[in-house]
Amino acid sequence: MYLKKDSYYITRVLEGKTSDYAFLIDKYKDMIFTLAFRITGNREDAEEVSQDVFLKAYNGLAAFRGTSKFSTWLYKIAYNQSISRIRKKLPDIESYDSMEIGIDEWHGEMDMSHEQLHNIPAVYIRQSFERLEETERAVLNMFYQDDLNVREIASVTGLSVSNVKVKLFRGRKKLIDILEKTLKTELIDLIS
Amino acid sequence: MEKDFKILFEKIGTEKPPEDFTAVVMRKIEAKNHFSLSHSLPKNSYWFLLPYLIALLMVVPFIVPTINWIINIDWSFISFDISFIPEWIERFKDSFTGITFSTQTIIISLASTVLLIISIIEIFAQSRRRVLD
Repeated sequence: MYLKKDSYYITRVLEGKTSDYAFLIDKYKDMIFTLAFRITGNREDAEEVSQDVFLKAYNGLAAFRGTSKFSTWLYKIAYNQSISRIRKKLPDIESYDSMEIGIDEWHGEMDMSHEQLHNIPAVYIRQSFERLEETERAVLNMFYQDDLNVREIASVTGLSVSNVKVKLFRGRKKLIDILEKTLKTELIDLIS
Repeated sequence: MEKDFKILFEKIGTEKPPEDFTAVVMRKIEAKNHFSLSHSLPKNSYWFLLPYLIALLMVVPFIVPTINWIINIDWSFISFDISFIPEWIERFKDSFTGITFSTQTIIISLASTVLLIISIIEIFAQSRRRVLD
């Protein structure tokens, strides 16, 4: 469907062919919406944020230098928009950060096998994921969902490379921790 | 371990925005273009200043007749004493003697002035919008 490179559509839009911007929206809307949804945690906010991202990108298209990929540039806008949206609601958010985690003791291994992982219902993974801190959710999503490397994530989030690695490590640990606890609780509820 | 996390993320999948998402965003962009003269023109170009320049040039020939008209108006219809105004204008009157004007020129002059004011407001709105964006 997208036979031309992003730069082709960008040039066309800058020349006044506004309708060509629709190709860029179509190409990246799922990626941006998913990131916004992962950070904000609800569809309404994600939709508003995603719309703002594309409008902002359109207005700032002339300022896009092309030094990074268009998708990375969009990602940066989406990340900042989503974070500022969630920060406004911060008092209502209870992240897993307040709970005690023995990160130093964790060596990045899971107790579950591949088969067990395949059998975990997606709803539990989503619920557990939502309990992570917003930057951890964003970093994990970029790394595992969109295959961005650590450097690209650092460029999007404004964090240092080492900080991104820490966030990835903490996020993974917390996610598994929450997931295991959730599954245990569910199992106990089922038995009792 | 990376593979295990990939499995988790594959399971939750990607989220899809509403079907009409692209259309909604494009409508918002088009709406912005519709109200703004400069948005419909290529970015990074100063061609959008052209209509303002034309408006300015249109106004210039009517400035003198307008002043002439102001000078010649009979201020006596105003009841309270503002006699100092015609006296003050009188000082400049000699500079404009011999210039004729008609109703049409006054109307066109006023219309051009209004156009100029609208253009200035548009330029101001544009610069504000760029700052806000």
